[in-house]
Amino acid sequence: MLQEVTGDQRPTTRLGRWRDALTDGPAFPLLMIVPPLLVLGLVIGVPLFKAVLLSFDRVILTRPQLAGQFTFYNYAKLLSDPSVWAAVWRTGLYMLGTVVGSIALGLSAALLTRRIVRWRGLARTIFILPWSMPALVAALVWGVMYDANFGVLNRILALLPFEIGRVEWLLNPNTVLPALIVAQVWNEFPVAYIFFLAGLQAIPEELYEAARVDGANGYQQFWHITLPQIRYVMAVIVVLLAIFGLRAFPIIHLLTQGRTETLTVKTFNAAFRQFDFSYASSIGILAVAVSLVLVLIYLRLTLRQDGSAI
Amino acid sequence: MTLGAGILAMLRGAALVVLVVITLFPIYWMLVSAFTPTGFSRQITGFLPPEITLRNFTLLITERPMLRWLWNSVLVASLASFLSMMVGMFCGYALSRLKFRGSYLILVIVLASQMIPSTSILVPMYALFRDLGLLDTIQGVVLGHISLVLPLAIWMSKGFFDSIPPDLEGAARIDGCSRLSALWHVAIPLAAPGMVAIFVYGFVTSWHDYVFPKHFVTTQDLWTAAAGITSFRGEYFTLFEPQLAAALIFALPVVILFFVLQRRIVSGSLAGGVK
Amino acid sequence: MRQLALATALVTSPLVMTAATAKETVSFFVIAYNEPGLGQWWQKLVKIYQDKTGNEISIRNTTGSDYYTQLITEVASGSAADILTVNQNNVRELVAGGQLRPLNDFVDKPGIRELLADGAWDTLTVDGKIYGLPITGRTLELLYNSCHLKESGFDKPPANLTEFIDMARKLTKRDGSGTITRYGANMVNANEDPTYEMLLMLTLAHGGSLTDKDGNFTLTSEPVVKALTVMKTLYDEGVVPRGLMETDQRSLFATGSTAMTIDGQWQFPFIKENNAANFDCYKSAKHPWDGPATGGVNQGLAINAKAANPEAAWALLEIAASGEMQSVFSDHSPYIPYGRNALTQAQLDARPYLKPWAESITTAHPIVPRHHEDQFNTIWPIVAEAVVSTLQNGVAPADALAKAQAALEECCKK
Repeated sequence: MLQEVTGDQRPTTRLGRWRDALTDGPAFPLLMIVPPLLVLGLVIGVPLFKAVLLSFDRVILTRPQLAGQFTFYNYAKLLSDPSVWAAVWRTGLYMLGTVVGSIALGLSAALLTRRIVRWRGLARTIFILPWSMPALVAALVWGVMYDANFGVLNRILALLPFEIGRVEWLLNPNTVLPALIVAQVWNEFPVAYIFFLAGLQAIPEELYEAARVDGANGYQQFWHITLPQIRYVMAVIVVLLAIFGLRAFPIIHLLTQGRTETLTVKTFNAAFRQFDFSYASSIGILAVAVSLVLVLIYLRLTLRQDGSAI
Repeated sequence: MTLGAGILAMLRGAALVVLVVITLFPIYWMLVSAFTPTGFSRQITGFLPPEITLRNFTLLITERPMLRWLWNSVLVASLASFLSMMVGMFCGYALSRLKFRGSYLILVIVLASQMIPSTSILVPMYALFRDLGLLDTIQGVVLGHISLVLPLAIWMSKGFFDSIPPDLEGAARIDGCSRLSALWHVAIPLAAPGMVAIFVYGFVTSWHDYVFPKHFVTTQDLWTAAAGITSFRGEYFTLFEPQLAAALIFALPVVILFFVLQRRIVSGSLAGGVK
Repeated sequence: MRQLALATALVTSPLVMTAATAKETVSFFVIAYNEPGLGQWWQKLVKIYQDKTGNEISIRNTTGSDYYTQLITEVASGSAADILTVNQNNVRELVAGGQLRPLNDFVDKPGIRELLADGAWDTLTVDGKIYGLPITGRTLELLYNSCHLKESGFDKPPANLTEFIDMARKLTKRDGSGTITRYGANMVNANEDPTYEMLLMLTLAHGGSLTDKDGNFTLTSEPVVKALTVMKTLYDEGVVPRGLMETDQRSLFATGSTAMTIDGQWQFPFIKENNAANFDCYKSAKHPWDGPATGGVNQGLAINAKAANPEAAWALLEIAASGEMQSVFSDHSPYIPYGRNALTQAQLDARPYLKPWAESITTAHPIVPRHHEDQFNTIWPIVAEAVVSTLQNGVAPADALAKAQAALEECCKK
């Protein structure tokens, strides 16, 4: 498909020079960077821009007479609304819980299966199975498992040698957030697993051989070779999972019918229950701001040390 | 083998078993529910279906266009993930190799685009797709899904290219390769396992998304399977068991795809290149 | 000769009409168009419309669970369909947003009003203007599993609230370890609008209401507190399923894990299909307390204020209201149609369980409080939260209701 330019023959035709500029010259990087930015700018950027505009307006479906102004009303309302800050806190906990849980499970599974020889394909496939289910389905199956009436989880607990008693997982205010996090972690840890597996594979075996010669045990190898080598992959996964956690909707919404108000659920409730699209947008913008700050701090802490571009 | 190593191996084995059980139990429970007659799975008192039926599966063909939906999903997910992978790969490469001012900003902007809760831009997005004439089309869904997958494709491929020493391409360039052909013949093959991971990620993300096909496509025959699965939640009843049966069928292509590609994700060619 | 001319006119008039409005495309936002039941009736309606007018209908299909989000998305982005499916709870919201076209000029044409039963046109009327054609109505009545009742020694369904509570207790079954294997009754108690309606029903049963006649909220009044206390009692005693959404509680009843429920007639086709062996156990009766049943129009057709050709859209509504379509309604759907005498005795004999609903549909008590008709989706979450926090978090009924009352007074002044 693409012609290979060999030797030192530089094209002399006009077409050749054009091709040269595109494949080798200053236009090359531009050509690679601009198209994705165009796509994102159009599909996300334009609606995002409109959302920003909306957040300074008062577009409420049932009160059309309020629309068309420029106001800080929504932001003032947001800053003085304790339920918004409760939602920020809840979202933070949810993000933290899902990120830590998914990394722990995904990395453990990747470390345990990286060098496996027998049944390798099967073992690896097992760990991506939960991810083959969309969040909606994960919500459904965890919903019946958690069910306070006939749920199988309580029956499993009853089999344990020690007494726990019946737990109303999704109804008890102390268990509902952990229960949601578990369902989400189960659903998304395979993403971490896959990228860890690919990242681990990129670590040169020589590093481990050298470490073994130096007498390093498995624990030391993990801390001094594995972790530093997968640092970038780890950083991207953390950011990705944090975004998943921030945007998580079907599991929270379906399992608690919108009663667990994270920022995403709150935007939904504001837009589709109060019809206040402006207020919903301002909460959405707040979500972007909060998570952007978190992510930038995190990236700076983990990746800036080696002086790379990120 | 020393005693310590033996214990360690046993511990590893035990940990693996525990992980596998945690991972598989909800799927087992889906199977149990999907083979239980419609309406009866919520009150199962044991650990097995009280009565086994295939009807939840057959009605996917007889009462819903499940095959059609699956085909649409295959089309959308392959296109969206392949295009995202290609575009994201070039972009990630440029950001990794060509240091220029603003590259950090681009990466952050790309990331920020994913942070807005979709519920708060659903309405402006609907208006945009209407203005572009993309409502009720497969192309619209593909474009929407590319916007979901691209950011990670860019970030991930930048990471993979960062880990490949630029010297290798430098050598190729001295041999007279253009930048494009150095990328194509040297860097991409080395980053292939990562690209496969990105493709799988993109495929699954697109395969699962129901926001775009559900809200922007109103012709049932153009729905993807993810949108189709949500249709079992009706106004009065949730057809829970058929829905789980549909979800199991729906998961199969992803599992097969991963089973076929997992070798490539971990083929070790990346490690080989760095040696 | 005159007869011939008349005949010619009759034959050609559809043609003339066709020529005048030919090749219009009218978009139609509809729920579950491809599914059996009501979906088939919609398909029939669209086919007749297209044959008669020559216009095209472009279907915008949605599902029951996504209906509302989709409607709001399309309306808010300014691209809603020409014909919209609306209901009694949201028609006011849409009217307040200036989204619907008044239909009076069409409805006042001769012969139109008479197509529907008395009072039917009032259901979607706002400030004296008709905004929609009611298609299906729903109220909530009692459904019970007569086999379970017989087993527990009851030969009659409950006739009042005391009996209902008492029977719910006795119908609840536990196994040796005390685990519940069958609930006495369903009672919606999740965070969703049916929970609001449950409280409303029990408030009506106690002779109260959620608002006074001027539209001031009365959540702290005695009947409401009593109603919530009843809910708390049933919940705490474990005679109703906990935390399940309405749709999930329905399948429990339909498959024999609950003995009684207050619900709609749609249960019967579901039971017939999925629990045929026990279909004969299932019976219906009037709701077991005084006062009207709650409910109203759950699907009606309205015309978008921005519709390019409202005449072409109206033609579909007119056909839907016609005897031709109304008389076959009950062949497809278990809902009660609004057409005058549309539910024939033969159809009722085929589905005898419909009786309580057929009787209450025209006298249904609206779900949305008077004077707050355009605020339903803001009000119900506040009320439902009061119920859920009482049941699940142990807040005292009076405290939860006082909190809701304060929230309602703040958000929803009329």
